[in-house]
Amino acid sequence: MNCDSVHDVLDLYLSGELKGEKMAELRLHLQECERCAMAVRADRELDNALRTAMLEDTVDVSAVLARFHERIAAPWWKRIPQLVSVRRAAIAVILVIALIVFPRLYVGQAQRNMALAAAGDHYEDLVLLRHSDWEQKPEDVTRFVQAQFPQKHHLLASITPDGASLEKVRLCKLRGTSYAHFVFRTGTVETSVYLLAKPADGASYQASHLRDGGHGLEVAGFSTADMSGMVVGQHGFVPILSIARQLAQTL
Amino acid sequence: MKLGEESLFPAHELAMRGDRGFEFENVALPHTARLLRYALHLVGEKGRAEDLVQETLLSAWRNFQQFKRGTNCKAWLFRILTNLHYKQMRRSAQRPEVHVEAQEARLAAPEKVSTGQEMREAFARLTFEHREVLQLAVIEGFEIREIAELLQVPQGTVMSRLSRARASLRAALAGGGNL
Repeated sequence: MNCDSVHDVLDLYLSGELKGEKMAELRLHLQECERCAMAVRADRELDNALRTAMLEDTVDVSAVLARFHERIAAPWWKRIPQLVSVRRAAIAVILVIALIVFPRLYVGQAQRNMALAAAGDHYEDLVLLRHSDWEQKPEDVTRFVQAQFPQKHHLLASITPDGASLEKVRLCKLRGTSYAHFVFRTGTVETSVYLLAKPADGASYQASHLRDGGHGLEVAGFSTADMSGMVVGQHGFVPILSIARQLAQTL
Repeated sequence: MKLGEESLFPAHELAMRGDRGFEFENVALPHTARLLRYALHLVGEKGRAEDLVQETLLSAWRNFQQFKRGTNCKAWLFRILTNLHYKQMRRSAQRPEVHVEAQEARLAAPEKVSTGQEMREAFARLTFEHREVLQLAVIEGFEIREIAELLQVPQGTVMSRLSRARASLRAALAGGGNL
């Protein structure tokens, strides 16, 4: 070991970390080199003097320990702020709000999309006359209802709006879900009732209402324990909302 | 209160806390004075230093099950304290900038023995970084490896800082200004 390499290991030596062969080499060098031995001695004396001086100036820890003791002895409800940091609590609150609000927004958006699909189907069927697979004869309609809603007796009587008569019915697809599309006529005005035996997604169509579903059509959704559906008609000509409310009660 | 001489908790409270309380008292709390000295160095003000140490002890108490028996509790506590301090600094964006002043390493020579007061004044005139490394290595007795881990710098950097810090301290003792 030479004088330069002493410098590389000096701090390890002073902190007591130098071991083994390096330690033996350093000791040997210090025996032979007065300059390095003096430097090591000087650093050690400086360290000792610094340590002594700084530790002479004692710090009083009694206040810290008293407060620590008081905090850990406090009942758990007083320790909540320290158990859960403010930032974590804020994140938790935001997450909870998001969990409550987002499903509602999602359901709201799903209801709106379905209402728009119903209005679009009503327009295609009754204005553009795009489909011809309607059941119109009374016996065919009865057979259709029994096949689609076997558990519902007197369904037609329940869903026919006051003063209206059933004109036709067919199965249609609204955003991938099959609905029975009933068309009722009151004079020259047609009203569509879309029915689904069991709600596909549980909470949908609960009292939803879309005043403008395009082409001047109004849509109102309803839901019962085992049925859900929508009523579609010309806004201002048919009491769409009250028909939907009535269906929610009678079905 | 001198640490290690008397119980930090009344006997009945220790009994309530069980083994964990005894162990914490014996392993962690004796380092409170060291933590406070270092916290004073970091934040510079007694009240804030005490708050920092208190938070450190509370954090250590809450996470004491994570501390592996037989490992270095002092280093563990200092790591918690340093992390808490830097977290607070980040929050308030007040982390002091450390100015590394290149200094000529003075040839070490046996110095006249300074009084404690002179030494403390000379130490106070050093840069933050020099005080930090001297405090950890010389006053608190950390190994170079531990200091490197705590400050998240290479061991070589710790050693060169120490060397420059000693040179600065000598200069301060010899009557230099702020170093």
